[in-house]
Amino acid sequence: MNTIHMVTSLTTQDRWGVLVAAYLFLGGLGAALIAVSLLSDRYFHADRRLTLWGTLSGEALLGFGSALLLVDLLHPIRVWEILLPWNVLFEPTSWIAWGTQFIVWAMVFGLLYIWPLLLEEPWFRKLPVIGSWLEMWFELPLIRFVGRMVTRFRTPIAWVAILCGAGTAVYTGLLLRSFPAAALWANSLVPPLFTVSAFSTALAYLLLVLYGVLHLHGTLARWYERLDLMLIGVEIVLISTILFYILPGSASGKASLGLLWHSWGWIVGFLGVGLILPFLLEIKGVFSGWKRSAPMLVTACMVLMGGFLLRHYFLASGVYVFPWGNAQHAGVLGAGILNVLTAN
Amino acid sequence: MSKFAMVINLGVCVGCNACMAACSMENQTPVWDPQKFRTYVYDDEIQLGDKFIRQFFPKLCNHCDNPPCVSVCPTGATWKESNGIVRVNPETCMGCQACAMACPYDARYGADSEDIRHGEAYYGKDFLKRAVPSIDKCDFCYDRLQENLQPACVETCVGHARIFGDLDNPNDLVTKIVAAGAAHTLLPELGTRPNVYYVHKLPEGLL
Repeated sequence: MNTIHMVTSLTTQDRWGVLVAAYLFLGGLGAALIAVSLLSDRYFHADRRLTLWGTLSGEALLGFGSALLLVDLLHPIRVWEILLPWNVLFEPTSWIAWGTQFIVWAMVFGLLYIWPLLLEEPWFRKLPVIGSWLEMWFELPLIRFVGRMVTRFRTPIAWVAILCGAGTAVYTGLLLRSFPAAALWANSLVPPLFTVSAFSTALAYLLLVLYGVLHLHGTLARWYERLDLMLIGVEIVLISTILFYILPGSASGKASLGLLWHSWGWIVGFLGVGLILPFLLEIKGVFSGWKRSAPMLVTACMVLMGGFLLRHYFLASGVYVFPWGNAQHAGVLGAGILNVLTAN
Repeated sequence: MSKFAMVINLGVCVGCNACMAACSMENQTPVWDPQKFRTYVYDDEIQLGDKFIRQFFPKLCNHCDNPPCVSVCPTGATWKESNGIVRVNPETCMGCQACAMACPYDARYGADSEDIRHGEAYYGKDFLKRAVPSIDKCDFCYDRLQENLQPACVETCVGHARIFGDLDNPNDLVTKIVAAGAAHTLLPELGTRPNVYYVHKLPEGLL
């Protein structure tokens, strides 16, 4: 008889902090913004200003989010390697490799798509200091030529950006899904959850622009509200399934549940203010409407906050179950679960 | 072809931590940070009824046959050799730490710029093995294996708790222990298929 006694310790990860959570949030939001903006422009005749707002915001958020990730790297200069398009051929199992390509091409083709719109947009020429420079630059033959080419191939360009944007949103979930040890991450509902959340936050952002900046309360805004309501409904179903069905089935999952149900930020911040309340407010908005824009603006802000908190708590609450006690991590939750392995 | 593996005999580990010291000096790990070791010996007190057992538990990279750390690496900086050893190339690692997040055995740590500076002072600039920040982990002392030496932790273990061998050699002690079915791997339910095995007592007749 050969018996091994083991103590199990529960430990949260302390490697990926708030910067990566912000990257996952901004990456998903920015990419979904590009995808929704281009779809709206191509097939729903969205206002040109909305397309510009959505796409340029998406570009900025994706760029900023990626910069946050760069700051978090141990050796950021090495990142050039994963920017090369053929890197995915050598590392096809790495979701970071795929995600980087999705981000890069969503940004490139998103910018290409709005190129002709930018050239026609007088707002840019009126910008202080760089306005006159931009006006001169926009008149360059090469810039005009690119604009004409893009106009000619608008549909394929839009679809490359849309698919890469959607790919980025999916990737943010697949990245966590590829870490097998924590039940909170390694379940198949995480990618759809992060995707739905990314598109929901993108719609909330566009509603903020429509109601708060452009003051356009037309048909598209109504459709965005309905779609966002449906996405939040799906998000509630996915979250509920993870919390009440998947996580209770393992030690890691139970520990994650313990962390989540003891965090006011998760219960009140995400579930309450970031998910359930916007769902109820959007039901009211969709079925009986609002007399003013303010409730819609507040609802959109809640959805955006919820999107960040979801990623923050998912990252912070993944629990490893190590087969030893006294783990040296800062995130030690406890030890004492006894495993006895026996072999004859 | 070889397939390297290690058996750890928990019954004879006395917790002297000589393996940690030997590993640290051989591989120049950041000993100034208590969380950054290639191998670590945990000191566990286990209650069994009214009895308490004190058990030392050495941990290192499990050199899995299905390593999640390798599949998540976006630069190819970590890979599995044909001899079964999972390695890291610091020159191509960008330090995203996805591999450390994916590892169920907590066998990887990040050596950052501060560690490199510290290392220059501690180990001597002219002798420094690590020049750039990257993820680091056990590689079964790959350089020593090239010289037909045992890994430093195995060589220094006073209780012979660590046994290193080649699973492709049927006459190797490690192969016999594993074949006898007496050895356990950690977290087998995850499907990582580790090549570090644990026993509490070597099967009789093998020594």
